[in-house]
Amino acid sequence: MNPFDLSGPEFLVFYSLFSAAVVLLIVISRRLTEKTDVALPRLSDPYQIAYLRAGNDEAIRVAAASLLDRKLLELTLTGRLATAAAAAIDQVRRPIEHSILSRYKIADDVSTLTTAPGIEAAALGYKKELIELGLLPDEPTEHGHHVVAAVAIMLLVGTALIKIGVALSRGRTNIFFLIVMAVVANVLAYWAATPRRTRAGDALLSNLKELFTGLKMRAHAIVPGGANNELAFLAGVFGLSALPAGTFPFANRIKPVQQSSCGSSSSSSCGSSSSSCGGGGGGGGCGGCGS
Amino acid sequence: MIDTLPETTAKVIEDFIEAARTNFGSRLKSVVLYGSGAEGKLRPTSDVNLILVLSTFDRKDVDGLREPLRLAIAAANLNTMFVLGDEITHAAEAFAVKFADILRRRKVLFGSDPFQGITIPRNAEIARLRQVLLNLVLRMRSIYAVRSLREEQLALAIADIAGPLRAAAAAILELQGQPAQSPKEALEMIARKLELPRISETLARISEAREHGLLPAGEAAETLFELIQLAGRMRELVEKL
Repeated sequence: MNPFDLSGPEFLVFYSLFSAAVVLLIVISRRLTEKTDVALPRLSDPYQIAYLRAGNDEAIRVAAASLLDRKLLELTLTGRLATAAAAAIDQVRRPIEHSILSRYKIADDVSTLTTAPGIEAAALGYKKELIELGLLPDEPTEHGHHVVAAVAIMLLVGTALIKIGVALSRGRTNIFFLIVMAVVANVLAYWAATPRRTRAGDALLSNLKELFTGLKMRAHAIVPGGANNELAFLAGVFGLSALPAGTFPFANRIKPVQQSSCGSSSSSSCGSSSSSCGGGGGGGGCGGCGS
Repeated sequence: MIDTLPETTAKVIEDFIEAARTNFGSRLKSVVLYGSGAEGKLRPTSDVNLILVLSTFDRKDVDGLREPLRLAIAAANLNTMFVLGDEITHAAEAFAVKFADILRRRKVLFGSDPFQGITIPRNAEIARLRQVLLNLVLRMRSIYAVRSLREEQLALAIADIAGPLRAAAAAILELQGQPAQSPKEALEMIARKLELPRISETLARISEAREHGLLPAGEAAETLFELIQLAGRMRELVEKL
């Protein structure tokens, strides 16, 4: 049976099954090739956890939130960040905190937080550490992911193009659904083939979420001021949206402004999705939510 | 595995004890879990109380423990006391009510039992009970005046006060020669004895505040005033000991 001879609706069923099989193959190949029996490291740096969960910008935001809570950094009503006291710059321990305080010795708009080169470089140190720990893919692994993604996309696009060619040659122009389906299938295949974390990284993040469930439950009781590390761990593991807005009003102001990848819903629904975002393999789809 | 704690909490505490052993080495003599965690009655919002008994408190030992400690505080709401072996007897006298509670509800997680053979002098416990109860009354009055315009804050304060009030009740009953099975039960027994009006509702509200951190609208202030009265009547019982 030649699938390209199937009628339009029949081919759409075939194409959806074919796409599912491709995505499934990608997932299975990842399971077969990535080690899972590695001992998971212990992460005790909340900014490193934030990097593992959602990347560079998130680590920077969580560090800024911690500094704001400790009153080492100030956020004015006009949206400008400023270091509260120059003396604090040499007192903070972590390079990312040091770089943020150094950057805002001269006050600047909060929107520059994640784009300032010095801060970005400090956060990138976490990437290197997480790669060494086997929690983020290294360069050869990422290259392998892209090769798999390219092959999958060629298969999916090629199949769709052949059918479109056959349909057009037979005078049929109702190819819209196939195009939509092909776009969705390719996005899914790319997402499955290029995970932001390794399986060990997903497993560790999942463990951390379980470990800090109690902290999330008593988030309302966290005392501001930074005497302990609870704010940083809560935001690091679950995202800034897990911080009670009443206690930590600055959290909403340093969250990313655009929420478009969460759909047309309001930012609040996006925030509420943070607990499911990044819960294991969902990194690519959730990056835009800033979770 | 620490069988009186939920699995995740037990894992955090075990990791912390491992870090303490690594950092303190032979200077760590014992680790003791006390309070509701030792009884197997830990609630999701409860703190986990640990005593680390040391031979010396050296800066370099503690420095290495700071990160694991802060992680355990965030993950398990850990509350730690660092006490030297030769301070235990004095601490038990100085903080008699707290240590009486520790003697009643404890679980040794590492090393030998540092409280074996420790007794709290009756007079010291009575004197400390007077202090604790008077302090609770003064605190509750101040809390009402300052926080009662924000009802949710009162509920959190009631949840905080319940622990010391229950421990004081347990100490009173013990001194009366009628020990209760748990501090919660002790407070219920004392409250029944004192026949205060609305006391069963008040006790239910305490549990609710500890469980949920919130009380139904209009209940928190009334409950706090009942507790002020209860603590006052408990002081009268102490005077008769």
